Amino acid sequence: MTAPLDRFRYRLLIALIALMLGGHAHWMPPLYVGWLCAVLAVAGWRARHQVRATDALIRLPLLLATLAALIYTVGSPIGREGGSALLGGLIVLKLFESSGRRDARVITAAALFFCMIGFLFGQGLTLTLYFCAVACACFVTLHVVSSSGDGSWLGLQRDLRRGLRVAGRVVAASIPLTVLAFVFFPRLSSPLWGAPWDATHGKTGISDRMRPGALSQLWNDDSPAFRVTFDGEAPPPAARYWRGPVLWAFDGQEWSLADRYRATLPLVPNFEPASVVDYEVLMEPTEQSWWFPLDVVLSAPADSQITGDGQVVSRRPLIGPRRARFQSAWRYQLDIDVVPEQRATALQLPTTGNSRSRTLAQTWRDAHGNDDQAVIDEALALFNREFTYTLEPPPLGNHPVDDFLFNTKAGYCEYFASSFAFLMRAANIPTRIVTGYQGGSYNPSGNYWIVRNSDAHAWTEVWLASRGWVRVDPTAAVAPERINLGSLAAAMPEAAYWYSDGWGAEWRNRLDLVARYWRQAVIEFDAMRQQNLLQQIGLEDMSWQALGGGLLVFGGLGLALGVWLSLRGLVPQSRDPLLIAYRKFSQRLARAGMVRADAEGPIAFGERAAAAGSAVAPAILELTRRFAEQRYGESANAADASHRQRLAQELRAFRVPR
Amino acid sequence: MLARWRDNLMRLAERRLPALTRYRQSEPLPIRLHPRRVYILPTRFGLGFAVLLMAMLIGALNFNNNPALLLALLVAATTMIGFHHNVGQLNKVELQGVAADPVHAGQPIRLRLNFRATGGSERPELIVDQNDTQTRFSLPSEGAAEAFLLLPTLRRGRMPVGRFRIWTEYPFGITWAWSVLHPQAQVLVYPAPEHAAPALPTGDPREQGQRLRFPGDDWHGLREHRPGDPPKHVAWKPSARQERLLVKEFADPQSQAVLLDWHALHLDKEARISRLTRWVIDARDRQLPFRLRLPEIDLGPGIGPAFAASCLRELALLP
Repeated sequence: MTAPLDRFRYRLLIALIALMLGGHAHWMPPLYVGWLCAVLAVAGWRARHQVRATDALIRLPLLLATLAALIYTVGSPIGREGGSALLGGLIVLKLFESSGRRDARVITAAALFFCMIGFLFGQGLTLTLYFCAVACACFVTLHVVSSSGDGSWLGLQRDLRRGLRVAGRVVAASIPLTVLAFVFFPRLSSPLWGAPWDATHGKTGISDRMRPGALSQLWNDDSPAFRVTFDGEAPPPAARYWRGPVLWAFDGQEWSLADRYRATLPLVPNFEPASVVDYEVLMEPTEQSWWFPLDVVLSAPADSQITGDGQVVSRRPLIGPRRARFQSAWRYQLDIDVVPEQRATALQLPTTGNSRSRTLAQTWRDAHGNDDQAVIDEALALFNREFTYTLEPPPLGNHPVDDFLFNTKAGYCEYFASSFAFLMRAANIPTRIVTGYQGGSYNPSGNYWIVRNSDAHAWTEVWLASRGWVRVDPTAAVAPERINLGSLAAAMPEAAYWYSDGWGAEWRNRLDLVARYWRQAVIEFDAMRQQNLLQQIGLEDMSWQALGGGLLVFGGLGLALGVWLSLRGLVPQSRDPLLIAYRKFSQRLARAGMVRADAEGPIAFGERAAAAGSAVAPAILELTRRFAEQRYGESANAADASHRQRLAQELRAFRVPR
Repeated sequence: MLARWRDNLMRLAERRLPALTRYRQSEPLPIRLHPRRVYILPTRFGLGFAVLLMAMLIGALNFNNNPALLLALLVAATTMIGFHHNVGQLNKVELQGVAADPVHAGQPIRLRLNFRATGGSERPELIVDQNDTQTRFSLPSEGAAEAFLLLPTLRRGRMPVGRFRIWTEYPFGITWAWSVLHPQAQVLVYPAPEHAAPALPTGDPREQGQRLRFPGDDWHGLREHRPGDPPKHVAWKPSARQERLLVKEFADPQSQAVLLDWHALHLDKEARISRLTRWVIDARDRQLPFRLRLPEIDLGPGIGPAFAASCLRELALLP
């Protein structure tokens, strides 16, 4: 039996949904939000007199229109944005078939879920506070919907006030519990399943292939890729290149590994001893095999292999978070004598395609003769002069290098690395592309460096006679701040200017302090941080299973305590000292074998006990008689406190001789 | 073997879950609810909500999304604290009395359940139900309230009020707390009056009136006027002296009262009761004095609703 919904409660539901959509307005296309608001308004108008479910003839076109709006504005209804937008739309449409309390509850629960979905699009403090407020509103709605109103506006106001009071009180009371649970709730050190929303965009992180445009999803991914703790001082920012897959082969569109070469040669760098650093890497799961050591690696963990081109490949994929120690040198020379076979691979290009770029490279070569460095400088100068750094470059056509170099002239590291490598190879300079990460931010509270997925980078290495493989980062030629500040700051310089020098700077710094604290305390609180915290309070090396077990045990104890506290008052506990003393007396007798039956009065019991325990029989009889007189007799109400006190003492002092 | 297990189980239940066993038996009023006899279960929505909550928790954990986890935990904690509020609604509620105005068998009887609460805040949205009937009421904090419940009646006599359930989904509808109330209370149900019964055996009412009007000189005293006394009985002269209405009383009132005689009817027992009930009602409605002669008791003569009520009560309680 489901109670019908009156129109005021229905409007409350509409308001709740609007509130919920408000938390998503920052990412949903405005047109779609507008459409959903219009649908909400229609729902409210429809229920101006009476709430009733609409029939399918109206619902179906509405659903189709919403789907159309979704596909027009968001795109596919699959994936993170599409799926979330679809869910939001369905919640709004559910209003049209709602007429009862049950529907209202379902909508409220769905709204709660949709609030959580919102955290896929941002995890900031304001957003969190907003969604927590919406969650409170959901509980208020649940309360109002559960109470049987009389269908009047005044009745709703009364219920709403009560709901606000009750929900506010309950939510406030639950905050300490929430915080405790948040700190101690066992975290998964590796996900149970991959993020379904990323499946459509390719796996996050660096992969063994590179096609300009494929990394773009990484910029928004602020999740950590790995964390590094240096034993000594950290190398300078310009040396913080974390080496991943090295790409040798180019098919005209895509760069990939050179499998044949990978395992054959040892890595023998010349390095400056002063630049050697030892450090520990805490790797987040990537489900791939690469470690990302600092260029260039000297020693790596035992279960991995250092390839000839400086990659460190783990023998098993990094499915869980891993921890390993490395040694690197950041001033080094690599392969002064290049192997001919290597050189051939590093010069390989597809036979056709991108002809304008080839011609350009040939012009440079012709102009500078054998001076490789001059050719490189020419290319870098070109980039610096005419190219812009952006995270949202226009798409490239069939001849990506030509297209980029002569038409779009805007891109990010992959575009620059790819086209630069192409130009170099066309100019007969052996070149390879290195992908990995660049930069990282220092976490002073934990004294470690954190490298995020958004720090993903691609650069090149050219082989120069007598110098070996030399790192050339064409992106640095275009946007040197990319190397110093990171990709986002480089992509939006005017915003950075406004932020850093404008009137908002001071406030922004303050807000950033809060945001950073929030980030450190909450967003980045993961299995590792939890473990650190637990270690500080003396719980070392807790696995999540142990933590879960502990939670169960302590939760059970807490529950038992709660039950005990709530049941404690139930057994009538007499405060009468005489009665307590008599109980003691009975207990002593019981230990001597004379147990008082539940229904046995004191006198009957006293006589029975006296008959059994002959040695103290007179004392038993006497005490019992006096007890009965004091408790039940006529003197029971008399305020003869001293008498009672003495009797209680005697009762307590009574012993059965063995 | 099985029987022994069952016995053990019942003993355990008796010890641990008194509301499932002992408190299902009737108990004397007042009945005071305490946490030990209040049970709490998720509603159907609550079960769905639990699934949703699990999904939120697992999702947040899986994506290592801490704000989402915070939200999920906040919702979970709020829900759990809601349990306490849910049980607290029933805790310290006391059923103090059960009463009802008698009705005739077959008519629904309107039970008045007197509840009182001590401590805690206002308790809205309490529901009492029995079988298919239910009623909502709310209790002020530290105050009393009545809940009215319409129950069907089948037979005359004392009707035990039976077992009620008191429950509430307050505050969020995620759980419902319930307890069993089985007061040792009975309400009176009058017999059902016969339909289309023969007219009241008064003879001609006008003749009856004549007879009352000229009672002769066998009156033996005066009494105070009661509503329903015929005006002809008023002793005007003594009334004028006393400045209040006095009525003549007769030495042989039998002669004026309608006699409703059990023994004069030749029907089976229930039919006789039913017909006498009808006649008592008729006499009451027409404000006629009557006598009721039952197998073991003689009532009246008397007149008016109070006398009729005592007659109906005797009829209801006939073995």
